Amino acid sequence: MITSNKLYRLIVLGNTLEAWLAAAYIKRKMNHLVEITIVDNGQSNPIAQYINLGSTTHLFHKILGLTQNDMINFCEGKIHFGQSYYSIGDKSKSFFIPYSSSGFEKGFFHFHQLLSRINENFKNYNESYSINFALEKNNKVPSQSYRGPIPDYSFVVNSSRYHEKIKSIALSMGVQYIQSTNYQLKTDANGTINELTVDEEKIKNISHVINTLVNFDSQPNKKSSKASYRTVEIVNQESDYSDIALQWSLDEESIIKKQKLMGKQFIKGYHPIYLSMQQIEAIYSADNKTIAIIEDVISDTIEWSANKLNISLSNLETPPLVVCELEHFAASLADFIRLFTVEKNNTVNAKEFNRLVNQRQKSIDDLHHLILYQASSKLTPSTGVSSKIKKMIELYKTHGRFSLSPIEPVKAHYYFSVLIGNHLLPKSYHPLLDELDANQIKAEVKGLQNQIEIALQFTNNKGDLIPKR
Amino acid sequence: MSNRIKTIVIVGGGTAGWMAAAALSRYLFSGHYHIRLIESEQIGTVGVGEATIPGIRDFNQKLGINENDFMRATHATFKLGIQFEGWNGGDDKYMHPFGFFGHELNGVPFHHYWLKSQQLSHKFELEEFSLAYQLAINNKFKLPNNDPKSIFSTFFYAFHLDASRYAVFLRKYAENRGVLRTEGKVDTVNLNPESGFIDSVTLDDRTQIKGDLFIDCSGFRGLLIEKALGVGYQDWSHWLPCNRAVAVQSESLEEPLPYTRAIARDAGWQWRIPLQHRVGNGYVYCDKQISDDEAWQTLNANVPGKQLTEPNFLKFTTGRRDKIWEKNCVSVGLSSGFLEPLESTSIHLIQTAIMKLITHFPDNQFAQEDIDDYNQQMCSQFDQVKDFLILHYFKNGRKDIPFWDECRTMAIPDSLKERLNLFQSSGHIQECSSEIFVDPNWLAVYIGQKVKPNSYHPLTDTIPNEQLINILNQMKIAIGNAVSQCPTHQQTIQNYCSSASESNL
Repeated sequence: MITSNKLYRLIVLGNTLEAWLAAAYIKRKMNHLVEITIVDNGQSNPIAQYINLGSTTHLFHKILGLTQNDMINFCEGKIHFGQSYYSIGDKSKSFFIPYSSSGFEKGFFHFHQLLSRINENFKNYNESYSINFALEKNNKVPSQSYRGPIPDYSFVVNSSRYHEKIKSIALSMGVQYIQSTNYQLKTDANGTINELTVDEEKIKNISHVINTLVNFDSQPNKKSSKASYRTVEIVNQESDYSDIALQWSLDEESIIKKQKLMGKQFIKGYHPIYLSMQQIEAIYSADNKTIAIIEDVISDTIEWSANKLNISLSNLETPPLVVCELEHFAASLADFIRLFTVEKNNTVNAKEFNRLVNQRQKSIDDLHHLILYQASSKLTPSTGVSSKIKKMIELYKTHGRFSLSPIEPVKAHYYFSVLIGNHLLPKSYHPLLDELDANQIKAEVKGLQNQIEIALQFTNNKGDLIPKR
Repeated sequence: MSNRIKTIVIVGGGTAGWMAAAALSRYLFSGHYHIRLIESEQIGTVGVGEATIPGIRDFNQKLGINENDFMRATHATFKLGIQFEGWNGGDDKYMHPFGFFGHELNGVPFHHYWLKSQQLSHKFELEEFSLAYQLAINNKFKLPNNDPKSIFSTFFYAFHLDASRYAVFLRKYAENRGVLRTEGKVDTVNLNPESGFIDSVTLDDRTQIKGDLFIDCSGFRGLLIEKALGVGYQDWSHWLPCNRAVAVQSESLEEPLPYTRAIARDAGWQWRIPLQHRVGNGYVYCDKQISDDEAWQTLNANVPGKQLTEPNFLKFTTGRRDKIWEKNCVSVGLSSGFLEPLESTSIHLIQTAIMKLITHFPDNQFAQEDIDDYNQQMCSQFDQVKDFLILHYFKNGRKDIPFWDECRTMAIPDSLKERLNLFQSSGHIQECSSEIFVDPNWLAVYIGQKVKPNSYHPLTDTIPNEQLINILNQMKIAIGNAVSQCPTHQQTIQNYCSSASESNL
């Protein structure tokens, strides 16, 4: 058996948020076993002004040592309980995806099937039966006296402040930082990077290289495909949505492409997900000349095929309609740690890492395409919908059934929210629901609504901390 | 709902038939549905599948069955795992216990620390960190609890049961809930000439029984799913070459053990399943290696105690139907496929088929999307069990015995190859979407079958060696203390569910 008990040297290339996150997380997990050097070659990824940290990264941040207080006060974070989607072509198709599922399940039956059984219009089931929606709409967070289960939530933070915080954590743990554009990587006979020279200084015996730069020469092979999507772009805008909108920075090539497509200059791009309904209404009702809808922004769907565990985490791009960049990144870092190996030429673990990342990427792409598929056909292409999603839709359409693998990273209620939010309703409900007493279901549904109303009485304004449980 | 189906016909009794009838009667209780089960007393049931895995408790709970009543009625004993004897050659034995090994530290699975400890001065056996194993081997048993802080939440249990009695128990349950039983043998299956759906079955007394949904529990023959609908069969004999079994019951000579024994023999393996009142024995073998007579001689020589029945010979082809559900016919149990009972999965696959049928329950339109999804899910269940079973054979250590040498050199499925490579490379267990076997199950068999990883996780080095040894010793002591608190298996049976106190259930 190969034993370890040695010091690992990790090189992280790039001065990006991902670089510092990777360095801090790995250092925290591996402690004295690892020596991490961040090499800043002057390039950095464009970072959005605000970043949604996602509802599944609380443990990740706990490991990093970030508290709610840090998120709110230092990182200017705001708590969100779900994501709002606004359909440009048909406003009635706007919907909300709560981070926690709405309603309740009963035996074999989904909540929307129960509503269908009692002839309830469940088009707005998230809006009517979700504590997350109620909190989001009323701009509240649970207070200390709140007794119900704490709904899943996410922080949207100022990415510069967040970056700064993560960087300080990493440096405080002893992560080395070198600024130099004059660096060189050397590989051994197997093609494994084992030496880095920075301004004549050599770092030898490198265990792993984590590349956070998009255009790094030695990044893993990737197969790119274009997934087109639409977003709202505000041209010549003067409105001030910057505190809530994700400013979408683009590289030069994309800007040129956009300009070509639009035939005019644009200033800023806003991610519709971060706009409140009122703000979207404001944009939508504005003079048409100030709004343009563009198509075809490049999104690389990356298929990982790295043959060694020298990874490029910056390629974990997620399509913009599914806000989970950081969640995907954190999960991939956890996979990296789980599959960390003493053998530099271990291709088996790299293959497994690729499999896990690709699997997650695929699920995220699937949800993204489902959102597009369901939006107005006039505005949105339906290409790119996988056969898996098509089957899901067809299954759902008959009796509202939905089947997901137990290891599927995207939760079922995300899919339901998209399907129902876009008026795609099943033809019928589960036949065995007729076995249940409709009055009892009605009473339980009413009880849920009462619970939500009562729960709202035990809340504070957003900006306060969520009580610890 | 107007397009509801009205009549469900179950063809075949036995464990599968009555499990299906009982479950459907539990969920279809309003009187909208008529459930009829056809069985013939002239056709015996296979009667194997007496050992189960923990999922059966979930099935019984869903049906609202009292566990004491169930155990008394089926003369059941508790089961904490399966002991594999001689699979690595010689007297070597290991157990696949139902529970966890140790607990993870700093987010790293426990077995990596155990692997590291193998390099240190103090050697531990992996099984020392399994409460299920320690209870089993000391012939003790206590019901687990749900408190995650308690060591008694670290194991699960299943049962050894008399499958025939289980069928009788469930028959009473189902008939009390309105299921009608018809005595008779199915002579003809009548298909609708246009749709190809099953309209009715004709019995040997010429009675015609119509139905909307048919559930084929007719056993290996697959009277409806195969003979009438001809869905096809995937033969997996090239991976799992055993195709015969001989079974016999014997009297108990000792207190029942809380685990199943799977003893390797020259052309297969022998099971010993201890019930409260008797022991179930059988030899699963490959007919290319030995004759039925030779198999029986081997079994006969290795069954202690008086034999209570004549030997029962079974023939099978390991594999599954290409489609488990076709048109208006769902196959459940042996009619859907057969995987040898090495990991006691027969009853689990039956309950999975039934519960998935309830989830996908059709109306009279029989939406193809529902059927396709059901088939995909059920086939996946079979496929995952298949890989797990192949692992036992492929990594065997029985040298210079033709049957076992062939197993060791066979080409295995890519899915299993990938799993094995990953474990051998660095001790990582591939996460699986299986609802049956998860990490501790795979780990038990990997280590038991001497599959050793090349390395352990480097993060284990964050804990100094001395501290690690202390932690492992503390875990071991905690398990030892827990075992010492527990009554014997026999005492628990007597206090909880002795068949001697069986009432009229």
